[in-house]
Amino acid sequence: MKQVAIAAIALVVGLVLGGLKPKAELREVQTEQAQLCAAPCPESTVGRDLAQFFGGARTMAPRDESPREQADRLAEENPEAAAIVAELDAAEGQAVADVGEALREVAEAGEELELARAALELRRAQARAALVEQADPDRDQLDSIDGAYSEMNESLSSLAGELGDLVAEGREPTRREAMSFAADALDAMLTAEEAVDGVLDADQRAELEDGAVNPFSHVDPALVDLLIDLGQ
Amino acid sequence: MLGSLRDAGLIAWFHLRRALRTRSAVVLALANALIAGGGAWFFTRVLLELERAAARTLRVPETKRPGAMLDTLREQDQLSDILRPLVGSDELLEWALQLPVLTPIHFWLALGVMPFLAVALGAETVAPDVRDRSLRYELVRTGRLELLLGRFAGQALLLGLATVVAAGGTWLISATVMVQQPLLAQAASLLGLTPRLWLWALPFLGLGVAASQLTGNVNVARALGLGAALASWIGFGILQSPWGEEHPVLVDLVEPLLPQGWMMDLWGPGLGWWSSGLVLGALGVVFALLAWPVFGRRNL
Repeated sequence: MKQVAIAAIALVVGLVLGGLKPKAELREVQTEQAQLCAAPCPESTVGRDLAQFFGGARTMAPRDESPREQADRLAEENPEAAAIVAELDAAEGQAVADVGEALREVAEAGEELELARAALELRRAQARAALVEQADPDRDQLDSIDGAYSEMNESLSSLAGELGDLVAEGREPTRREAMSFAADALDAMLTAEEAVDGVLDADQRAELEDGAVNPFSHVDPALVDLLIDLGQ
Repeated sequence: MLGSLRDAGLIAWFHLRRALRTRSAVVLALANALIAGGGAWFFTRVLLELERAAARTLRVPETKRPGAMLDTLREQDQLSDILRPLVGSDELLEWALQLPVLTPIHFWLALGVMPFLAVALGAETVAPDVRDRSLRYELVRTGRLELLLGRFAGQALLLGLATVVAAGGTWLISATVMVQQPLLAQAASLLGLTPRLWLWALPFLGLGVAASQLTGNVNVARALGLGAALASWIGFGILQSPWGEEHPVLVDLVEPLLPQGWMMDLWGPGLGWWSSGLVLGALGVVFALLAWPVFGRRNL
């Protein structure tokens, strides 16, 4: 047993002592890295020197002239160009502001749709769990219920697809078409609700809260994607 | 050497069998299962309240059992906010998100609780037999070191058994209190983490065994062992503080000697935790021998 005890002690002592040097080296490297990251880079003059060499010192700004001073000097020498540059600056500022606003709106709309999708998914999962808990359906009943809602979602997806095709063709649905779509969508939901009612017996139906079988609670969040396409 | 190992093995086996015969193993396993199951149950209550609040907001019926929204929260990347503080890095977070939700909860709860259970168990290793002097009769047939390490191994086996049963407690909560949980994956992931938790507890068992050699009073031994375990946590906290950053050499020297220094390596996919587990096992033996200079010469 002495050997086992010695081996364990040797392993621990070896780990402690053997780890000291590598850890110290690692610490040194980390310190060096931190110093390098923190130090400002020295200003390189290679580019300016090369430009002066190839382009001639005549066209380049004097070394001691700041960019601001250089711009002022050029504006004085070329007043027409300075006016054009000022107009371009103003237009650029407006364009940047417009693009920024548009991007912000798109991002906000995207976030809202993402939230809507998450909410629909949570709603569907919770409604199904409530249905299972309250009605306690057997395996066949549950398969039938899932099948009914699945058919409903297929119908709704198909309707949304048709609507999307219509919009893609560049025309808006007429009042009659819109009413027809709404009627078909409601019909798909009614069919699903009737199918679920038919699967469950009277005792099970009595145990259920309305929200658990509400077809709106079982709508597939994938419909949000179709609605996004429609919106675009 | 082989005879010595055989002696220690026989003592460990006898110790385990005696614990099973006297029902103390059952008590320990049930206590572990109750703590693990209780922690898991508490988490499910918190989860249930969150789900009920969400159900009210979404205007769908509330449920009596939680779990319905977990898959959706996982897919929508919402669970990561809960698990990120527990796992540390993004890579480990990815792995944790693939596990059934009660598995990381069980693991982190056990990391906090098992040290204290292991110390309490270790404190009973030698002290009662020193007090009633029955240890002398065992020592007629074997050496003190064999007896000590044999009993340590026996307690370690007992602790392993209790760790498996504790995983069963969490699994039972998952199976009975929650809905839509993958029971097979839950069992597999809990059992996969069990060896890590067992190895994690060994150094603390060693502390308890060391305390047990210092006194014949089990309660005093428990107090000593628990104090040592608590001190290890406090010490680890100090080493992790800004004070530790100012004393890097001291940290390098002391941190490998604390089980907590190896704790984070136990978490993660694959078998990368084995090397840290081996060190924890060795620390267990070393800690158990901390009081050997006293026990080896003690008048029994």
